[in-house]
Amino acid sequence: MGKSVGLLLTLSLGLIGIYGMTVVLEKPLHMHMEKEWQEVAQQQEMGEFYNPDSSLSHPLVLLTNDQQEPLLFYADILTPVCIDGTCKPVYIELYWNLIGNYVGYGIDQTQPLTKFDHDNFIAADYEKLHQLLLDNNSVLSRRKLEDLFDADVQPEKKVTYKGVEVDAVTGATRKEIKDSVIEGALYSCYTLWHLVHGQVRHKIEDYLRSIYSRELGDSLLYSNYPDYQFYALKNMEAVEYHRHLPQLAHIFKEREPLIRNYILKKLPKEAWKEARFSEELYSAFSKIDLNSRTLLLKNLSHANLNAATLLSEQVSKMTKNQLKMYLRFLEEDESRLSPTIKANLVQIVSKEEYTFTYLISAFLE
Amino acid sequence: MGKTYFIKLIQFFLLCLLVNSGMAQDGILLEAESFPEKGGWLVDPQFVEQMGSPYLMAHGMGKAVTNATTEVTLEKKGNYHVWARTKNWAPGNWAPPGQFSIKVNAEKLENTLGLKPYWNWEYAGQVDIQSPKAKLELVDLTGFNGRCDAIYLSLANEPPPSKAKALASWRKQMLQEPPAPATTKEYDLVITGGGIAGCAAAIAAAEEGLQVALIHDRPLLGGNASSEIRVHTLGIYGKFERILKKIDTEHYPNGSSKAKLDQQKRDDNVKSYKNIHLFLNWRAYDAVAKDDMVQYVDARQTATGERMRFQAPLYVDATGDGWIGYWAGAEYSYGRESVYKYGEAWDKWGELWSPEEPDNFVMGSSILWQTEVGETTFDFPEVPWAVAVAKEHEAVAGEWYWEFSRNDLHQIEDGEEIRDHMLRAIFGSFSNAKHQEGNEKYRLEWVSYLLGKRESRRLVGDHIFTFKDVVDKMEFSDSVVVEKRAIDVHYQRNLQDEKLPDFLSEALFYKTGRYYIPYRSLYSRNINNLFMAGRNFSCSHIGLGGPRVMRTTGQMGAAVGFAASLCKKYKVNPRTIYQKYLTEYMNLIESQQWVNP
Repeated sequence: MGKSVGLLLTLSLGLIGIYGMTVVLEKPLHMHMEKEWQEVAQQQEMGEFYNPDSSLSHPLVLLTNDQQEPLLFYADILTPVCIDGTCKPVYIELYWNLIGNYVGYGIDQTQPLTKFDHDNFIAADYEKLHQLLLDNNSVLSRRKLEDLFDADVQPEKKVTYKGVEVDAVTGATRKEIKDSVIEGALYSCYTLWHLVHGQVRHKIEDYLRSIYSRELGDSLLYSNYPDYQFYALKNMEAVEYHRHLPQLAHIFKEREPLIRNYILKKLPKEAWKEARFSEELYSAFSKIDLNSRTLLLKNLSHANLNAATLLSEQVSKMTKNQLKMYLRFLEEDESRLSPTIKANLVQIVSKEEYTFTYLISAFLE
Repeated sequence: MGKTYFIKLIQFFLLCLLVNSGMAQDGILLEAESFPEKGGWLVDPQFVEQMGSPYLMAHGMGKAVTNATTEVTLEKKGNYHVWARTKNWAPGNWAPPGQFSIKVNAEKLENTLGLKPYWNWEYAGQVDIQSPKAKLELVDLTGFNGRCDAIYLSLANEPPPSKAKALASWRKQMLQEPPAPATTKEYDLVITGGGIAGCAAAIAAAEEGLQVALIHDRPLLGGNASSEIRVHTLGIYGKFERILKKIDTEHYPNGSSKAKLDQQKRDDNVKSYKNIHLFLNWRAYDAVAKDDMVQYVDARQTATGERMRFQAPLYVDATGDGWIGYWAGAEYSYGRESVYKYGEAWDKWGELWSPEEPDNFVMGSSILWQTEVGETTFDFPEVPWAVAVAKEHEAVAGEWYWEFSRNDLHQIEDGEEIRDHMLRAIFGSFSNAKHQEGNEKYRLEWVSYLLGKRESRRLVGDHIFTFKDVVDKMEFSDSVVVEKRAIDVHYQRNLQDEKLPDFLSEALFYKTGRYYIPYRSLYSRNINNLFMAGRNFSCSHIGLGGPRVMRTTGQMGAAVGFAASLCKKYKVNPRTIYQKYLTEYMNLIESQQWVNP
């Protein structure tokens, strides 16, 4: 890699048919997994991935720690970015995590990224590039290159692509994409985004599947990374959830709604009955997103008895339909309306600060 | 009634004695939507099935609208108690946004209305009326979507019933409505829903000589493509370019006022067919099936309340929400199927695309809006009730991704709450933007009050169109619709980051080559004389993702219209066309292809 500043760690690797190699890495410009990057001790080549835009293949490298545990994937890229036959080279080092998500990049200080008019990237451009590459659903993913400029807008300088003026200057890109790409570097953005989100991800996923085990799944689940945790949750049978209830409660409280929703929909019925776990879930009701709250209400009928009581303390956070669900649940079986729950409902009616107290009043009548 | 305004003034003098008091009660019910002079108030018929009636709404975008007025004839003089059925549509710790009052003979009644957080009768006050006729006015106080369903005047201080069932029954009694509409009209084909699918079906059937009734609950045709909602038509024309070009739109930005030009084209073209009998401002409210055959569709004029029964051997459900099928007992689905049910996985997007466990978290509805930069500064009122939804979000324009879905809300049953949430999002985001320097001259030019729905009920046909049909590139012997647009499924942005606004969505595009929809997805599996076209065709949640756009739904409509003509020719039901007359049908469709001279 020939870098001037780097981290040197040397250990042997014993992975299938591949020898471990000394790792020399320049500190990346942006890196979401700093801890893992610091632990990198060895590397091994994992074959190549193909970029249909440039018709080039690039070596994919697995980075591991001194215990030969996989940490990150890495590729040292030299790729041309071309418009109408005029090409310029782009040097960049790309990093992915073990499930194929982009996590950072580095540059060779002697080969800074440039815009089409050869101006160097400024700090804000490097940051924007990182944000762009993190976006799995970038507008760049669903547009053809030729659709990425707006021929109706006159650029201040003339750069053409297939005879049509393009993005090198202010005002030439569609407003829709302008927010996400770097002005004057649309083609670099496009090329790099497709490189990061292209075939390489499948290569990494295939590799992970080939080594996946219950232990690896557990280590992903107990990592601090939401995407690792979600991956582990998806690849774990629902019956296995029972082994990890404290961690599931932790993830439930900390992570985004999508992961919360997934856990609540997949949880086996027995898990809901666990008093401690149920308490963790339902006491978080008022702190979590509305969609997860709905799922908590939908599962009331097989949750631990403490759930209904915990919810009665948080009724004021319910939407109208959620309150209706809750009251319906209480109505289905008279024994569910305990003195505590009733007292909590009476109290919220008396305060009159909650919009839907009229529903509670009607219920209590 | 003819074309004159039918003033639905119901004077109902109860002869019965009140059980407890023994007092006679004299009451008059006035449906607000029947006011002959509506001023700036608009008729909103979108939520009749949920709240009981069309209503008047003061959609002034922050500027109070002019009064709606009517004249009421009274048989008795006296001190009248007055109630209005209304609601506070954005309740919270702020002044209710939609306040209004009532004037009788220019005298303002005591109480401001629009205060309770649910549809109910609010007491406006009492007024002494000594003249045989009285002028009654709805006075908007805020310009922010105050709403009035009806007004009730009574000499007795006894409000009408408030619970839905009792109210509906009371209403019928007050209206003295017989069980069935007095008028029945017969056609070859009854199409309910005048969106692009319904219009295309009407044109195709009319061109083949059928007498067609087209029932539509708005004054303008086009549904989501109309100048009232302003979504441009996407997709390809398939075999029906000639017909669809009569009713589609240019590719202007969503929300553009250019929609008005296409509106004129569409209305003119549909009206040019003498055998399309157009019933604008008529909303279907019932359909009854016997022996698995629809017998009739009943509809009501949205302002006058007049009712009519429509009969035909064949019916098309192009309502979008699948109402005709729903009422008639057709099988339908709603929600997101499990990814395993039809094999609809896209691993890259997992749960955001299709969930492992089924749920009701469908694609949401949109409200489009437009601003303009005026020559002078424009003050926009403070809207704390709207900022509570918009939070920090600032905007001076909307787009398709202003979309709302939440898993405790049903896109049909909770439509009013969804619409109101979007209005709050828009007014709140605009208000936030107005507080920023440089935006002083921005003003709201147009905000729709009609929900642009993407997904609701899907009626089940002999074939259920799924993502697998797309991935497998299935071609059918009865492929009548073709599309190449990406399968485009939306999710709410706040699922991945709860700090983001809950009214913005993200689209996932699965790029594909051409795919085909078979005729068998366009008629009901269990109601034998019912076609469907539009977003309520037979498909899965993911299957809907691509063909839900309006040139594609227009193709469905045209295909159904031509099928209906063969049904008439052979006196058979839709399924028999597939079973016995498919070659003739496909030839008929093939012959529709635009031949460029």
